[in-house]
Amino acid sequence: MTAAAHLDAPSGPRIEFAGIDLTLGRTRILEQVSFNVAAGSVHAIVGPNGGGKSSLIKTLLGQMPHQGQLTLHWPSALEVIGYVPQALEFDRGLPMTVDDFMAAMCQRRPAFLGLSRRVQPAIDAALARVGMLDKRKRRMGALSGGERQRVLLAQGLIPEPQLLVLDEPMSALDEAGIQVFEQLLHSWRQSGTTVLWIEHDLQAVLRLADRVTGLSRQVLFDAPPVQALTPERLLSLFSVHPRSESLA
Amino acid sequence: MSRAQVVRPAGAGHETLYVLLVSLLIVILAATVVMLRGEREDEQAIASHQIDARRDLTAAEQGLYTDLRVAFDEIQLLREETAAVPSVQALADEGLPPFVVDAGSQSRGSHQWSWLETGAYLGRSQAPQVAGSLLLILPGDSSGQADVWLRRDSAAVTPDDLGHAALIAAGWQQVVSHYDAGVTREHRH
Repeated sequence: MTAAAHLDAPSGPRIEFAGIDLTLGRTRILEQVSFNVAAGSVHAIVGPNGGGKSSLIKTLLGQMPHQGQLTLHWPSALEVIGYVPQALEFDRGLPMTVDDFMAAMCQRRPAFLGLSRRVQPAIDAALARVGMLDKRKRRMGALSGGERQRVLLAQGLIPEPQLLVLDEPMSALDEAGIQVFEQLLHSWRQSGTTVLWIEHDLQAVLRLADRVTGLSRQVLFDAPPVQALTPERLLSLFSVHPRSESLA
Repeated sequence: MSRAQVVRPAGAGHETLYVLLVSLLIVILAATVVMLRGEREDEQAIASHQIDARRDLTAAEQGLYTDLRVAFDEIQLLREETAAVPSVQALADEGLPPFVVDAGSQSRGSHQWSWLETGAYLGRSQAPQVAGSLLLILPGDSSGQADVWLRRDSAAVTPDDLGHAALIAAGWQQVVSHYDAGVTREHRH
């Protein structure tokens, strides 16, 4: 992590996972997961499907009956968590425009009454940052997958978060969207926002993350990407029987 | 300024506890209000010399009692018009039950009605097992309430004194009716 790049002290929290266990029904999803996410860093989580990445994020958001100690150390009074889900499930025929969606996510006023004057500038700015300003009157169902993902990114920006939780944001993004995302990631790093980021694209992780954790039910490695993303470790991470391998 | 926020496990545990506590609070509050402010209206005791019009009368007596109350209103109107108490014959001519003699009156005990100068109509029953003798005491003015007394033994002598004590001593029972919870609730004595 390049602390010198920060303009000032990180505004994002440090996250401490200590011995997190998660069992749903009879399935053990997480087993003694312990690692730290440094304040203001971009922390990637990689791992196979069903490895518990999304469950870990839901645990962080307080939606799972986990065991163990999960602590967020906030440096300031601002405690906003932004969350960008993997995908949005809704009926494609739903007559909901991008503006309606943003209104529903960002304001208390009912969306059918239009954008609230208080959040309108923030919504304009967020849509501009993801390059969706000219498509704000389009139906959500009529957008492409990448455009929809950009709108999801935009709602994660309001109000300005100190911790961003991203669940595979790049999987649906088109090339322009990936550029937008990289710019956003850069600005978050600049402002000291902590980013917890689930990603499949290991190339992108190598290029953009400060630290990477390999998760397949348990933590298999937790190191800077250059050290962590070696062929042996990746082979063991994505192997069918990763638990039989020794921890890297 | 920094703060450590511990993410608590999601689960219905504490919510269930809160809901239970709130339910308990509501029950306790409701119970307190009922205890402090509740009134047992269904426990209206009637005196030993009284008889309950709804439960303790025979079918014929109930019919007679109802008719007497209707006739009482007519009697009060006639009293206002003529400034005199109408005679039994006048009431029978008007066709007012129970004073009129017809098949109905015969099946309900063939009461023989007479006016007592002390201020009451007396109906002597000819069949005490069907319906007892009845006494309708008129109030002093035209605005009072009807007062009906019942006596079931066959030796229905004419009461000399219409005072309560004298009537009770002679074996008469005052017919009273209450409107209480027992009207809508099955309530066996």
